[in-house]
Amino acid sequence: MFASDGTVRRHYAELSERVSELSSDELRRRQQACEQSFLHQGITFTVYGDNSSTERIIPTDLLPRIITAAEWARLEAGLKQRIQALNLFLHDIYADGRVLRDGLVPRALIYGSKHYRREMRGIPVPHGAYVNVCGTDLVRREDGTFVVLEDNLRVPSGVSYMLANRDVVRRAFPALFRTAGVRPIEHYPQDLLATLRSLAPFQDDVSIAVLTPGVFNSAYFEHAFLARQMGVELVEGRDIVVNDNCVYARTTSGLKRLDVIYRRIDDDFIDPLAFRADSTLGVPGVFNAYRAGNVVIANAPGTGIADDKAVYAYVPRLIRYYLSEEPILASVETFLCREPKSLSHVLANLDSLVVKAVGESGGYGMLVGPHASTAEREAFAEKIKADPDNYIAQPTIQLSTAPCFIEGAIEPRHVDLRPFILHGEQTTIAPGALTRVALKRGSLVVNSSQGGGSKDTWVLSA
Amino acid sequence: MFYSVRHVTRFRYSNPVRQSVMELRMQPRSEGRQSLRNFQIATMPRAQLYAYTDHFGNAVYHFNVLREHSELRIEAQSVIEVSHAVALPATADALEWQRYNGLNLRAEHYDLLGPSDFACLSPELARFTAAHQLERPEGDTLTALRKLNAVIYGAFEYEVGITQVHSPIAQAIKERRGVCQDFAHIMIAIARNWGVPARYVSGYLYHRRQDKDRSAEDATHAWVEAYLPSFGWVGFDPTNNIMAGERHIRVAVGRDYADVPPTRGTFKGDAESELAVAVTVEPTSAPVRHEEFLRVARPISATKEKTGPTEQSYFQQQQQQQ
Amino acid sequence: MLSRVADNLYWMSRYLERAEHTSRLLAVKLETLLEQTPREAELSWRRVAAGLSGDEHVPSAAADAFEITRALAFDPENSSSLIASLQSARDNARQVREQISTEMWNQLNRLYLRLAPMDLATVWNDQPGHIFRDAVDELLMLEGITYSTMRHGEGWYFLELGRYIERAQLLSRLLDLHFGRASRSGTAPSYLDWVVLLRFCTAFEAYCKVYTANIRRDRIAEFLLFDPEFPHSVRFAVERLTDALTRVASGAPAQRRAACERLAGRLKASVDFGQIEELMGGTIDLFLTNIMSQCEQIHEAVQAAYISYDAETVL
Repeated sequence: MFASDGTVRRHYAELSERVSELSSDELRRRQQACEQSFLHQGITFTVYGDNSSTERIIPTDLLPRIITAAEWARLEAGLKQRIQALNLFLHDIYADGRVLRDGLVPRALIYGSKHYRREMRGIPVPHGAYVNVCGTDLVRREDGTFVVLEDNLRVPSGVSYMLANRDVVRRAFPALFRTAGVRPIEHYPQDLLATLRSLAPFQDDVSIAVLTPGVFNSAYFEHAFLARQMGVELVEGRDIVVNDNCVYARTTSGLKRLDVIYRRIDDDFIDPLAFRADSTLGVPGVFNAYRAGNVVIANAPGTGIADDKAVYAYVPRLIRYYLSEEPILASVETFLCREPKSLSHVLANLDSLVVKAVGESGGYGMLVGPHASTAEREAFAEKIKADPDNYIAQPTIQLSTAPCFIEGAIEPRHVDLRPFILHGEQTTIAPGALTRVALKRGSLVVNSSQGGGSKDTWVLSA
Repeated sequence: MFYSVRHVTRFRYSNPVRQSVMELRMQPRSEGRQSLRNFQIATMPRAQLYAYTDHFGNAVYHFNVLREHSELRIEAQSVIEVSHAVALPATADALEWQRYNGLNLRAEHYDLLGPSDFACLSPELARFTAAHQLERPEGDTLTALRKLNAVIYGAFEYEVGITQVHSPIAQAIKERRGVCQDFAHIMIAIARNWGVPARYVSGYLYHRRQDKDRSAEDATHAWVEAYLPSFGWVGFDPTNNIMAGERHIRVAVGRDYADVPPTRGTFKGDAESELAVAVTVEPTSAPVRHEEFLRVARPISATKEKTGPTEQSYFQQQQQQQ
Repeated sequence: MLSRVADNLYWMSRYLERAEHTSRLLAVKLETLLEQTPREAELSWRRVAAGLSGDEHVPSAAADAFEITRALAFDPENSSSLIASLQSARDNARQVREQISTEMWNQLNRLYLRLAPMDLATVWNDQPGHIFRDAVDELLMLEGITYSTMRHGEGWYFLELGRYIERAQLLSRLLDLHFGRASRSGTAPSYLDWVVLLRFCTAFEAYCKVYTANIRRDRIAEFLLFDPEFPHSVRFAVERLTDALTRVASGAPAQRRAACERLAGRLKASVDFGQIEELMGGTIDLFLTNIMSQCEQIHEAVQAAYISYDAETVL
């Protein structure tokens, strides 16, 4: 919100003025109204205890985060470039493996990843679009440019919060919203529907469903929300039957053919016949139907290989390789411990680096060097030396801050940015994003499971 | 030499089950010294069969049976021609080991050089290799692999029932007994540890009285293929201490058993399944017609009203290779 | 419509009907507490408890009104308590969140969140009937919201089906307790009991419009069983559930639908041609038992035809 000299950044001026007119009681009242609205709409995630479960809302901050038209234009171009390159990469490693033969990416890195699905080799994918829904995490650096932290290519969630935040914040600041020239994001469900429809081999009467693990999944609200907004069925594995290599949903009137499945369950659980045998969330035989082209699964199985933490380091090179373009968005400098030179650098600089296990996510198997004790660093160094292929390291990243309404006062908190990219026959990006907030003072952790919240993100039209 | 193979698989369920879905890897491969002359599959209850080729080049057939059934029977019949194996020399040359260091070779065979689900390293395997001086290969590649084949043959008793289809190899090592599936996995794990690309072969063995084979005559068989840069894929059968030859009929190859089970399937219902398998391999003289590799059965449409509880459990069913 | 979704809607509706029934009985009971002698009150409490909990969790006779109310309303262990019914309704609604209107969900969720943490002890001394009267009002509002915000498509008819099957069964059970064998073995219901029964069924005013305030046992039975126009009569419930059955699963094959419609037709015939004189002559027990078991058969037929059918049979 504030520039380095302490003045209010221009695009925040109006918000700043408007907020300063309101008493802190009034702000608190509006904040409570937002939270009530979430609770009543059931926009909650469930925390399970010993024999009870409680529903919590993901805290929403009242104050919108603002992104200028120029910032957005660059982001949009960069994200489109990135998803294009990642899809070409996925197509390549599941087809000819040109990038592997050329030695740009080590074969061991791909074949050794648990996210590489050999079953996907040689299976054609509509429009070559493996990743149809992507939620890329970015942060804003001190120089104002955005840098990509992570590409979420499997089953990214959070888009319902982007839409729900907009809904409540617009109601909290109606006048400001009208004058600010905020670009609309409400058409996201229609865009998603169009993207999914474009994957079907025919365009009339396409039958689409959202596949959810069920009501106990923490993102269930989002699955139901998207199905309702798109006007398609929300199905669970037990609603689906595969017969004669075609996929059907059990309806009151009999079996109804499904053409496109937007799945919100992990690869491992899609089909107990093809992947994890103990999966009861999936549908036996659905992968064979997919292979035969009788149903489309979005995102395609096996996309996880491209958001592997080690592959991340190669993305700028992949963009140059496939598109002959320079990357528009920067990546965080990444040291692959599998490379001897990087390994010695990492071991020598553990106190300033963040080291992550390649196959893990959600903050597991991680060392935050500057915050770790000497003993912790030494123990972790042994782990790295024992299995260098499994680790990467990055410099600690300074997240930018945005003004938040915290207990009656406005204070800066660290934020990241997750825009949502749709990729089918065309690529579309809703001009908005989920901004995740680390609500604890000084904290850099934005995950909702660890005290993170979110806020509405306004992309200005000019 | 022509063989006629009949492979019958029967699942019996303690209670009627529904929605069986099954994949079959039963069609002998048609490549190299082996060519497939005829192949048919029939299922009971009858079902529409579909096929695809997996990424190892194995033919996979699959089908489903929706309606209630208490038994599922699959009968595969094939006619295969197998020609004489080219005799291998007594030893490979001394440079053979170095040829594995070619970057391309290691990359091409990446999947067959590292541990896999069954062919994996364990403390038990380490003790076994230490006890038999198998930590490092001795002599040239061929000699070392032949010795490995013989050591495994000598160190284990062949006994059905000690290990199950999903037993880890540590079990067979501990018991000093097992079946061909276990022996193949042990050999694969050791060969890969030496840096030799090795793969699991599922298939059939033609048993003759004079051969004194240990492996069960009426079951599917499994053995190992190791890649030698100068000779290509060479088959070793540690169960019977022989090289894979004219009596071995190859059906499917993979990293280990998990890639090539003859049957893999799920059903819905609260039932135990009991598996019975019968395999007969006979020499035949008549190369039969080429067409009609697949007899396509039409599904029977039932009209009877049935109801039942909707259990949501799936069960996997697989068979062990002996 | 997905079979699972139809099932969730159906059960959601059954649980809501049960919750409303429980709330109304408790509200009426607590409101009339002061008008009865202790002996009358105890008998009446027994009937309420038996009518609501299917005998399993009837609190002992020694229990006082507070204990009984708490067991019937707020005991989560009692699967037929008000709060358990609401929770089940909400769980079912949650699973079909995308099928029901946001207004419906908000109303149900709000009611649940308000009642779930409630401590009966704190409101007991100050007109406790109020909370149950409020619950009835909120549930009626939910019914109205449902009527006017949800598409009257197949899902809505599954809601109707669930509501009226449940209502026919609950009414039959309540009538059985007042007119059946149980009512003849002990002290006969008093004048006040008859008024209370009418109020249990929100029927007092409607009854008076038809029969004037002349409270007579046989007329009450006739009204609650056979009145074609009163929403809380057995006949009304049967007509509505029969109608709902003709509107669901329109794409299902004829022979599947026939099984359900045949059973519904039989049930409808029993209430259309029932004679109150004959029933009051001693066959009312049998008649009511028969209605309850026919409702159960229809429930099973619907499950078999549209919900848990064998996939093979519809190809």
